[in-house]
Amino acid sequence: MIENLLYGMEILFTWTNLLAVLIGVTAGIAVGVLPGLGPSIGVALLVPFTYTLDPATSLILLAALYVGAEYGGSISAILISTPGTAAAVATVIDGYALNQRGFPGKALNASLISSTVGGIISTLFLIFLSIPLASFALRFGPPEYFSLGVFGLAIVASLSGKSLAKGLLMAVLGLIVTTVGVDPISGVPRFTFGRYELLEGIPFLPALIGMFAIAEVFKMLEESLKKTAVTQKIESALLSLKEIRSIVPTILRGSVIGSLVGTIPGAGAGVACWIAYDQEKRLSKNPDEFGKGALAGIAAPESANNATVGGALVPLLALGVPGSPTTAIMLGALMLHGLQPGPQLFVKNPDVVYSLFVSLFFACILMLFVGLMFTKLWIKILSLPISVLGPIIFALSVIGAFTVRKMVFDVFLAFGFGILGFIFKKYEFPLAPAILGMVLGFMIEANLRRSLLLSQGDFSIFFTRPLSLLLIVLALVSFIYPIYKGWKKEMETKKVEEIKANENQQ
Amino acid sequence: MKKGTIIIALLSIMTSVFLYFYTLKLPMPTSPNVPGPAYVPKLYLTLAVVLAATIIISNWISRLPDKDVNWERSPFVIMGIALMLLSVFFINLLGYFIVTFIFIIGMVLLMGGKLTHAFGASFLFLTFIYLVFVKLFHLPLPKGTFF
Repeated sequence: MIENLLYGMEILFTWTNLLAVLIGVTAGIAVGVLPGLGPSIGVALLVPFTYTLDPATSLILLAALYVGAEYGGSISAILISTPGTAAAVATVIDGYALNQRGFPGKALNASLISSTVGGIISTLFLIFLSIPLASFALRFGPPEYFSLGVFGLAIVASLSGKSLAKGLLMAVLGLIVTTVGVDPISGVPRFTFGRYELLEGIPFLPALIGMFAIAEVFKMLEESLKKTAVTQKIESALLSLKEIRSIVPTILRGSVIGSLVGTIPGAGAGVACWIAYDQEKRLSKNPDEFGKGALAGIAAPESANNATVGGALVPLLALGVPGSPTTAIMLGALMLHGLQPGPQLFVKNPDVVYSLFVSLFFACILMLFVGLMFTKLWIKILSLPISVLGPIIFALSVIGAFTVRKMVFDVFLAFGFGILGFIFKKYEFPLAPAILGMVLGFMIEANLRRSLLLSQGDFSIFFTRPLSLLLIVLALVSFIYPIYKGWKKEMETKKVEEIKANENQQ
Repeated sequence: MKKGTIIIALLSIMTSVFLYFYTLKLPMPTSPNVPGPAYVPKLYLTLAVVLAATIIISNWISRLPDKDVNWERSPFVIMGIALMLLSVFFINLLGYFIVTFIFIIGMVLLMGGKLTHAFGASFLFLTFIYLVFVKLFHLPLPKGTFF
């Protein structure tokens, strides 16, 4: 193993490959920042440029872009409430809140450090646990995927804010959105009302851009017209050492969650970031700070989403099964170079495999420097007057919504979701559960029905398979625990109030 | 009583009921033991009705007003929203670049910005978008009928 890694380093430390990492990371950050361009589009756009490169350099370039893009998505999420990638949705909640409190530098720093560590830890997972993790991922059948979806959805209790009913309703509305389009099992169109644009369903990214970015523009519009809006004081302060230390355990936990979830094909960064966020909120001593700019609320999803990079490469390299859309494109790129991913790749092309491992480490470290270099520049964007920033966010949102399927119809969709998001926000209907429903809806429905097809309608299939049962138990605990904790806190507050009232009477 | 919250919950119920009736038109499953295409939507829609009804009842009982919801300046917001909607409508006709150029200028002025800022922002933003999306990535942006 050590010999192979040294061999990988030897291959990486050539000018061409080092340059490939630098270009990949920088392009990745840029691709991640721009709404509508995610890691998968970025990698797909770069593949044609790799035809003339040797296989190791090609893979190094693509992997570096993948790493950079997962981090880049958080930048626009923090600065303008527009998640550049689907994996950065959870980052919006606390990242944007911390920015609104005047600390964009701290939010960007927390995201960068978490992404870096998440990437490094997942690379370690990739190096040492490729084979066992790949076989663990293969144990997931439809019942396990359904239970994983339910486990993800159970997070809704901690994302609901003041009203659990409102949070649950929003999650169900999100789930309903995913039922639009051709039914995944029978192929029957549902809720399309004769529009061919809806046959593929409501695309996730335009809906997301609408609910977060366009709704935010409406809010800016309202604020600017009040003429009372005070220019937000922006502190360029970065994270202190004490603050970094405080998020270390969060980053470690998020990285492990991301690495594990990343290995499960189809789960991906969009699911991992929510699981990590919820986990952290439950473990936190101050869960009330979540949603108001908690550093842990940024560190958890960011470490998790970058950790899925290494995780997603596990089944790709060990079994030839792509774990995410981006790795599916990378699989295509590998095949273009005549390489067949799978256990034999480690034997036949150790140069490609081990140089990739080493380059992932290097890409994460380089990302830290490139990210730090640009932090002040990103903060400068916020000093633009609200009257300029608002229209630019809208114009960017139009591109983001359009780019997914090249349809103006999607821009209208984003606009509609923007209006909904704006109204929901005003009346304290939390948006995060709706997004969660949209992320998990397809996974839940398709696998519920596949499982019931397998069992001929017998629901016991979910409780007789150990992994599925474990996930359902975890889901129940995840759902009930925050409710119990909230109830307990309420009771304690009531008690204290009663004691105070009694004392006052005496 | 939280009027806005109740209206949203009522609208959710109405939409869910409408969609529920739509699911009745969907084909039945081939085997009685296997769920058909209407199974999951019906489940979600029923849940939505129950939850929205719970919200209405609990708000009806609490009789507290919605907090910090201010629509006083809504005519101005509606003007801005109309401008955004118009810009999306005209994209198919005039293309992204022309529409966005006009939109940014109009919106900056509406939001109280200066004319110089409006032109500067519009020009710089579109130049950046043209270089990155069209020249570098060769990604198509909405084209109009005329341009």
